[in-house]
Amino acid sequence: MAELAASLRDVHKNYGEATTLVRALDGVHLEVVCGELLLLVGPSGCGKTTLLSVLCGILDATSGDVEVFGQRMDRMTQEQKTAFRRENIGFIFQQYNLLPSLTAAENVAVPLLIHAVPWEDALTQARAVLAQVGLADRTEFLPTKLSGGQQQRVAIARAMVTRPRLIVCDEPTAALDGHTGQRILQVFREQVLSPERAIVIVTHDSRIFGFGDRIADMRDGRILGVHTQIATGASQDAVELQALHPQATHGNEGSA
Amino acid sequence: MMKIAIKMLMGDRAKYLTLVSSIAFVSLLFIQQGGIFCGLIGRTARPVEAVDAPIWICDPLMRSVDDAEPMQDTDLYRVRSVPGVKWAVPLIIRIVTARLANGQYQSVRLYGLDDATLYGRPAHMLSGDTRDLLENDAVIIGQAESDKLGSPKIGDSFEINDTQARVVGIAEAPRDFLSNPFVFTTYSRALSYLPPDRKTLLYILAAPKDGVPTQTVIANIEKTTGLAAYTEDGYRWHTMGYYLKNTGIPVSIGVSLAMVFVIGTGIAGQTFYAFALQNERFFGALKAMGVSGTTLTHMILLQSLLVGLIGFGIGGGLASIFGFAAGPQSKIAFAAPWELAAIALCAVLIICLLASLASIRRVLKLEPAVVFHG
Ligand SMILES: Nc1ncnc2c1ncn2[C@@H]1O[C@H](COP(=O)(O)OP(=O)(O)O)[C@@H](O)[C@H]1O
Ligand SMILES: [Mg+2]
Repeated sequence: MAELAASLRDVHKNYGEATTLVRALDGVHLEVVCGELLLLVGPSGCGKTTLLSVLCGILDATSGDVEVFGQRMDRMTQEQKTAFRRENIGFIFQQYNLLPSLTAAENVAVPLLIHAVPWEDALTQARAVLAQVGLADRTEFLPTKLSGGQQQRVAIARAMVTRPRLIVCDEPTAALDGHTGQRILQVFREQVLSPERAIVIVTHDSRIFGFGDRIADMRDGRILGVHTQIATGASQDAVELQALHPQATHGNEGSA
Repeated sequence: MMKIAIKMLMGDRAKYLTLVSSIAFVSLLFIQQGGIFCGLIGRTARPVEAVDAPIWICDPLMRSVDDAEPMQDTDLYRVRSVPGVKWAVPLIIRIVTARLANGQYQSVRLYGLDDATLYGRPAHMLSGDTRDLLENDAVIIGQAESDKLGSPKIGDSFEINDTQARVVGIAEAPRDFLSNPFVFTTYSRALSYLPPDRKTLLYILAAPKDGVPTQTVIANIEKTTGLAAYTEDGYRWHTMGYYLKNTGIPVSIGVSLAMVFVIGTGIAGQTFYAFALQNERFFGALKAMGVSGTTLTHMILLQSLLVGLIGFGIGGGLASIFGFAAGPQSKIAFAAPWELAAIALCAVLIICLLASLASIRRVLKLEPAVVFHG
């Protein structure tokens, strides 16, 4: 049985109060294990971003337990959460969020610089990781000179440069065309995924559903079910889906 | 991370230039307005500086060097007998009206110098000799503002109080606040230029005996004669203080400085805020990646500090070009002592601090939605 990367137990998150109350998370149970690529899917507004934010301590849950690598996020101070994210979590954003005035290599070096790695060392390591995601010849380009797919690869390189054990992505393919989106997911499976690392990808892009080891289906602030599949990268119809109850998801196989 | 902050700032060329130029503009206006203020106020003390005496003695009612509260002629002897006084000489500084050859009237600042020593005579003659003051009707005029007397040359003459004044020399003289031409002559001739039957002794200049502190002598003089005594610097400030208190200059310049400050804060603040808004998702990403609030604050402060210093450098530079162009002898009063630069720098830094506070606040309480979706 693979090691547990993260678990959420009966997590609630409300926005606003009284008449403006929104139950963005309404009793979420979810476990993420090392070595898997978990897709969190569901319609817009169902609470995916909120779940991801709570999972990595950007947002505090209203109630419930949030545990990442055995540590209770909900019991940490802001400073501890910031430090915890720095050490353990890599981020990939829908809009890439690359700093426009930094080159690809400098952008990738940012998490290392946050770890106080000297500038030149950080750039050397950044270039190596960029080569890994197929951008060896683009390291000194500014983001504006790169295509969307290339920018997202830079973002992937940035998320993995410090070797975090959990990588979270919110809609990483939303701004990309279908083919490019699938290429990006291939990069995730081939370059980013490893036995000791878990990847959680929030998406409503059905063209990439075939790349997940498991698919968690979310509606109205709850996880309706988690499907385990053999990740092939093929389109969803070709994959045999198997519905599982959220609490009974320990014994899945994470194939690469 | 601070290098990143700098790259973030400079990378956005257009915003960066707007920020720097708005700060430069504020610095320029601030130093320029402040410089004119210091220049104007400084000019009120020029008539004192022109004399260069260790101790100034006058009637306690004298409010400034442009005032005229005469003493008794006997006060000179009383001062000379005060312990610690090495020498004491009389001096007149009065604003009187001259009548030019063409019939025009022009007020001038008349100096009546001790006949025996000519103490207080101009240090730099442009033409002529101070000793020629001993000739009949002789006066020396200051070069500055002499155009108001019709730019007379040696040998030309005009009248003061129906008495002939013949130019025997032209000296370097400062420009004073009232922009009156300076006219130097002897004490006894100055008396003939003033209305008769009046007490006329306005100042006594004195020096302390060797080894006696000036302050001690001043205290002695004030105690034994009941007159007011100042060091030269003290009397300069006495005069400047009068103008500061009794004219509209501080208020009007103060209002324009306050406007510069408010408008500058507005412009710089808005630009900086727009810059921060645009960078919000990047700061958000950095925050998600584990950059502490303290570091983010430092980054933003560094950015605004850089903008402030560079803008101040440019604005201050432009202001000093203005100052040099004006020059000390120009009609435009401009003086920028280091205190003024320091105050302007503080004002600029406060503007930058205020501008960055707003964006720091935003960045510190970033919404996850902003972080993830931009
Ligand atoms: N800061 C907020 N304040 C109030 N409501 C919010 C806030 N953020 C999200 N919501 C609401 O919470 C629900 C879930 O939002 P979100 O997690 O962004 O959904 P998703 O990422 O699946 O589109 C939505 O109804 C959204 O309107
Ligand atoms: Mg979302």
